[in-house]
Amino acid sequence: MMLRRAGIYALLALFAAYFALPLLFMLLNSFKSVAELQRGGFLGWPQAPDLQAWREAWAALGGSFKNSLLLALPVVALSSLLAALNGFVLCKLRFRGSEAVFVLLLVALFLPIKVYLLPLAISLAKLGLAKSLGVLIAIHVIYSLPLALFFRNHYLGFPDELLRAARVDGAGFWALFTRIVLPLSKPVFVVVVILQFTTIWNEYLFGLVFTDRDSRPVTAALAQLGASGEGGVRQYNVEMAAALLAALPTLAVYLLAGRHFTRGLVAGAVKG
Amino acid sequence: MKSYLERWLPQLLLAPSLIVCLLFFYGFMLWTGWISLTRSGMLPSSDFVGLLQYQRLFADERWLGSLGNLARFATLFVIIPLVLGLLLAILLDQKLRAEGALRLIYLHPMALSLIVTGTVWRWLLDPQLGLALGVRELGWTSFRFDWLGDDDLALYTLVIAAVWQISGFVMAVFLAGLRGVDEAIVQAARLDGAEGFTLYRRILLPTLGPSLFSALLVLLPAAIKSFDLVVALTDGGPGHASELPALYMFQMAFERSRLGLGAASAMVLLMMVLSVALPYLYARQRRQRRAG
Amino acid sequence: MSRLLMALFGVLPLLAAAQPLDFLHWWTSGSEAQTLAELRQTARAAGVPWQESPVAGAVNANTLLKTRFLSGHPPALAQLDKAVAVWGEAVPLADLSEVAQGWRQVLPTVIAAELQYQGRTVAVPINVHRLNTLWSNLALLQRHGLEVPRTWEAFFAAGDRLKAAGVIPLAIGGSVGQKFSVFADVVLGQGGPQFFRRALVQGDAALLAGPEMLQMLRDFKRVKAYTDAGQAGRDWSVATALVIQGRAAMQLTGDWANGEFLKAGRVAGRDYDCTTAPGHGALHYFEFDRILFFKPASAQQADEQKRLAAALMQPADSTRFARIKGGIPVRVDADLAGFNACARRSHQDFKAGSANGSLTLALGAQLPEATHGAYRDVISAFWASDRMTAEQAQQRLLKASRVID
Repeated sequence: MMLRRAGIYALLALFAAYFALPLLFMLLNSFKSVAELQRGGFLGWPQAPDLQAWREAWAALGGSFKNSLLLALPVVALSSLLAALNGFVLCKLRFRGSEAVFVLLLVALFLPIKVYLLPLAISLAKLGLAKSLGVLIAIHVIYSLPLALFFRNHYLGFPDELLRAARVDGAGFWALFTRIVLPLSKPVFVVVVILQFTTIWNEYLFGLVFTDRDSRPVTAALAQLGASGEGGVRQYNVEMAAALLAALPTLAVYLLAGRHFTRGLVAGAVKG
Repeated sequence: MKSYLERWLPQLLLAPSLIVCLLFFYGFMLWTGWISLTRSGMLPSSDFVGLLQYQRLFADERWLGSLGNLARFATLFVIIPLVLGLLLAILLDQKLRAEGALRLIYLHPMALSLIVTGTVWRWLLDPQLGLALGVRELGWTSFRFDWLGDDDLALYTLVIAAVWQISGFVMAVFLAGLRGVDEAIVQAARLDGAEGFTLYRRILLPTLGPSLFSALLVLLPAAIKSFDLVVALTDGGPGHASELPALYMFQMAFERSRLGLGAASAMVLLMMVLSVALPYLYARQRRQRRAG
Repeated sequence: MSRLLMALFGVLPLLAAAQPLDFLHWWTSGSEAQTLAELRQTARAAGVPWQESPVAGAVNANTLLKTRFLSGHPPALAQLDKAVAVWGEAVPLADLSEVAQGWRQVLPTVIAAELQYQGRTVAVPINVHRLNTLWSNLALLQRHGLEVPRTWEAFFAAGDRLKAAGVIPLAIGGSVGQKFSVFADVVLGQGGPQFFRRALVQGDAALLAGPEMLQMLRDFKRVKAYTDAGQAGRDWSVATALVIQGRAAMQLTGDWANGEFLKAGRVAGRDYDCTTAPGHGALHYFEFDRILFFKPASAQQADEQKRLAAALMQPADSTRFARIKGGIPVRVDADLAGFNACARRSHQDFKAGSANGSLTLALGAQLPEATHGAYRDVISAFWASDRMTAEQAQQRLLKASRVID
């Protein structure tokens, strides 16, 4: 028994090393100077640790954090709620063509969003819309429609008796959806929120194209740091510090959401 | 009136999303399809040229190579995280004390953008300055890890980084699935004498169907859309040995002023997806017709 | 093709009357950002209202530029790294001919020509970078009894000796650009500027398919043997660091490397040298930073653009840009006070090359993107692959020269 526990921990520790190493690496290197990095010190402790890289990273990124939050939070909230609704309707309300809609969404999931860059830009012009955070939010919500599939997948496991029982009790559609279905969707919400938040937070191309300089999200600013052609010297230490800064919110999301996994689904109410 | 609304409720609720989806995903795809039939260079043009771009596409060794790479990459990118994620989920399901910390460690890579992931792994896998150097310094002086510069093996560096990034998420999906099983069922099984391995095999794993589907919903599209990781880690190199179709598409459309060619490659990707999705739909419909 | 755009574009002029000139660029860090600051200063001094749209990364910037045209809000100016014709064919450009009249006297013909589209001047040059420099660690070479190689045979011989002694003969970065530089250096060094122009720029099939090109491809691949395995993904400045530290002996890259040597406190002529690539003699192969002016949205903007263009070409300003950026001034009559030895030598060759017609502009600035990209694909694949033969590479090069869209 003890051996089994030890074995489990050993295995977990091994994987933990694989997963944790890069982050440690980034952390170490963010405290080095550019000269030290160029001398070939990717590995190894910083010889004269300084916070210069962090200061520069904050200077470059600080202003955009607010923009990223203003972008990510509405998008995540809107798109996940919309996806829950669509997923539920698709799954539980039988109607002709539900299979077709399912496949339409499924295929849409696979299409790379970059393909839509130019047609979107042209549409923006035709509609007379200016670049703004609002436009970007709308675009992201639209292209997150396939998320409904995650909810549909989850709701497939819902027994119909539960829903019928609620209807018999006199619940209309919205009451059914908000009072019964949504609360039981916590695990999917956690998954979808993590996925969405990360995707939106880390997306940079559309963030670059559809906003103007003042409303640019963090990752566009991050991409600014990393890009320099022949002629510019890459400051890896600043890039690493900046990447860590940019990742803090998403890391926080995982810290918080991770706890929800332990609570599990309260499906007992259904079965019992 | 109320019953009329009730009858058409599903369609009414879905309609806005559906219309938007049709327009923004497929309408634009049609536009892309149209562009793929024109001589569009830097900006869209209406110079119709038929299937010329497709001919050029399939005469390009670079494109053909990227398709082969996608096949290899996608296979590993799906299988390894599924296996690793499941293993970690099962291990973590053992109600350990360090669960919270371990879960964060496994899950955190997902918080990093793919660009950052690619950049960090490029350093780690650097033949001269990365982990290889560390191993050499520890004593194994003839150790080499030249995958990044190797024509045949560079693709697998992408796998290493991608697996690192996503396995934690797959683990989380499976863990949620495992934890979501009704406690009553588990207790009942335990009372019946099921322990450890058998418990998992008979009771818990079969319930992971939906979780598996969810994981695949994330893994498969990610494999096809892979772009930022390739740019940051190998830039498709050495040469084009680790290039993936999404990179080719973007480069042709935006860096080479060959919008028509880029559009053609996007259409080919779409057709590839359809060629898997449509038989899947057909199989589902047949199963349903037979069942119902 | 561009009729759609011209139509879209025609709507805007009324809106932009009072707006500052918007400059889209990718000079967001380091010496580039400092140079931008200088540009800003010049604009302010000339009383031109000025606004910036920084986008890091030339690719992102170009993408953004395209989407801005498509969405109807183009900038007034943009940094340009392609042939002027690439944009000229797609969008309307400004006409700076009025202020550009004296430029032909002070600019090399090659540059003046590249600033024009359909007979009108549409762009302003900022700075010149020499591309065909061979940087060498003199101390290291001397220690092995070698001189800086001036021919490709000497290069290979030196390479053999250095390799045997355990030194990396040639430090190279991981980007395609670095490999393509080496290829261009081989072609120019063995074939000269005329061959280069006819074969690669004009795509002369006979030359491309001929025995000289085959030998050049072979020699190009031969260079790889003198580079090290760590080049994958390596930044060019890290390669320069190898030379500075004495772990590698030479690097073939542009004059921007000079800044790295100077920062490390090295002295030209003593610790390191900046000669031309093997076989080049005094040939000047270069790229130049430039700003493209788009059709102004109003008469007022047109006026501002012209004032800006004139201000940017003033001798003092023009020289200042080059000094901060680390290149050499575009004007042949520039005063080189404050420039280091390498830059002075470069400018001398620049002037001489302009006078005798051997001054050669980078391929990327002369070819359509598709062709240039196709060449790069071939060279990149050839360098990387152990299986591709020079003959196969030659066939692909020929195919690449015919890529037009």
